[in-house]
Amino acid sequence: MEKTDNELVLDSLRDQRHYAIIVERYNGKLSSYIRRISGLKTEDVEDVLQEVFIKAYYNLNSFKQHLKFSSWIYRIAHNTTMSELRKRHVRPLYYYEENDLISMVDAFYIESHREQQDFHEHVRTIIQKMDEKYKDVLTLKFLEEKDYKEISDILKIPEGTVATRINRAKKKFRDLYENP
Amino acid sequence: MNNLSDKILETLEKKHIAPKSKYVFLLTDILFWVVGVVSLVIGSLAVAVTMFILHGQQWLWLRRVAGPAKIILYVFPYFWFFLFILFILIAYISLRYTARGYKLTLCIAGLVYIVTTLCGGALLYYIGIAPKVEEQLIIHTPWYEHMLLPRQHIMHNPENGLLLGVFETDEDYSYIRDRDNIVWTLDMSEFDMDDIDADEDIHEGMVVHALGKKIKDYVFEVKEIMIPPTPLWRPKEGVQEEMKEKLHQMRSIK
Repeated sequence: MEKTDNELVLDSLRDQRHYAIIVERYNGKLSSYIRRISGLKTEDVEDVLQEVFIKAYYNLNSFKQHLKFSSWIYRIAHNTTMSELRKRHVRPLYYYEENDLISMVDAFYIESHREQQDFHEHVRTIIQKMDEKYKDVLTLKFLEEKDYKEISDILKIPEGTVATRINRAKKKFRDLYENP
Repeated sequence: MNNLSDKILETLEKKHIAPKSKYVFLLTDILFWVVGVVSLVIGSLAVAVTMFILHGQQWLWLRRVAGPAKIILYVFPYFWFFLFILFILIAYISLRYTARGYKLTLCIAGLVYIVTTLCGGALLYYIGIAPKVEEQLIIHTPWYEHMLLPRQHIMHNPENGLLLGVFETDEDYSYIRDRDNIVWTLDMSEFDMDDIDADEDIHEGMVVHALGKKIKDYVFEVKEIMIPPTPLWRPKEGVQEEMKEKLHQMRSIK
């Protein structure tokens, strides 16, 4: 039977080698998350990812059982990515694949016109126009498929604020989509 | 194992990276809680002293020299008010740094803090800590004494019948030495000693506040006299006897 994240954390604290399983488990998810919220190139994403895993290991004792481990490590990934972008003096350039864009449009229950030639570009432009705080919650909710509590734990904001931001982001998206 | 996990383990080993002790995190968390609680206590103290200062004013007396807006402008304890705001902010920031502090919205956390501080302040005021705190600050900190100047200014207006200063006596007369070191001879003929509360034992060296009328230069007819809840400034050591004698002689001639 596969070990839970919490068990792996305890194992890693006893023996460093167990940490490799955590790295393997979260490598793919965090890699795509970092890419989505930063727009960094693949090599740079890998550098940030390494830093995330090293930071997570160094701070492993600060992980509290009341949190989900995934929320905790996503939080580290988010903060490390943002601080890396600050170091480079660039603003986060949220990057979404075509599938990501379709997922978001579907989640907003908007009648999409996927057959249109410029559909993806249109949706991408709308999302880029939105505030970073909205893009953060939209990414976590509709692409990373996190629930409100997890988003609250990742971004360290109250759950009520998460809900408000998602609703406002949806409304803003609809307005921009329907009245470009 | 994939490439990345190999690299990570290699880096951890090469750089001798080990997890930071759990006690460091525990102590940090405790530290933020302590700062939060201490901030609440100081905030409550600020509320208590503010209540004490506002409640301790002789509003009816002060109305002789200024309107309500001006009185509030002069007696409002800005220092304590800003201290209250500052420590509410510090308490909120410390809460945000605790493990679960981010779960509360600014509105809820702010409301909880303000209500707690107001209740704490009322309690401290009720048990009588506020005058002790203010008195100690007046005695030991010159900067605090300096901040009381506006309050002293509005309480001392001989032209309009208010006199504030240190009470002094000799065999014949009583005097009030004001903040500018001017000695006022008190005409007590209109003053009824029974008006003084039994627990208000006025003696030399005390800061007192008198209500009455300026009869002529440096002579003040007293109708009522009271001891301010706190001394308002540090009484100077020693009475300048010679100066008092000279003034007394001058006034007797007049």
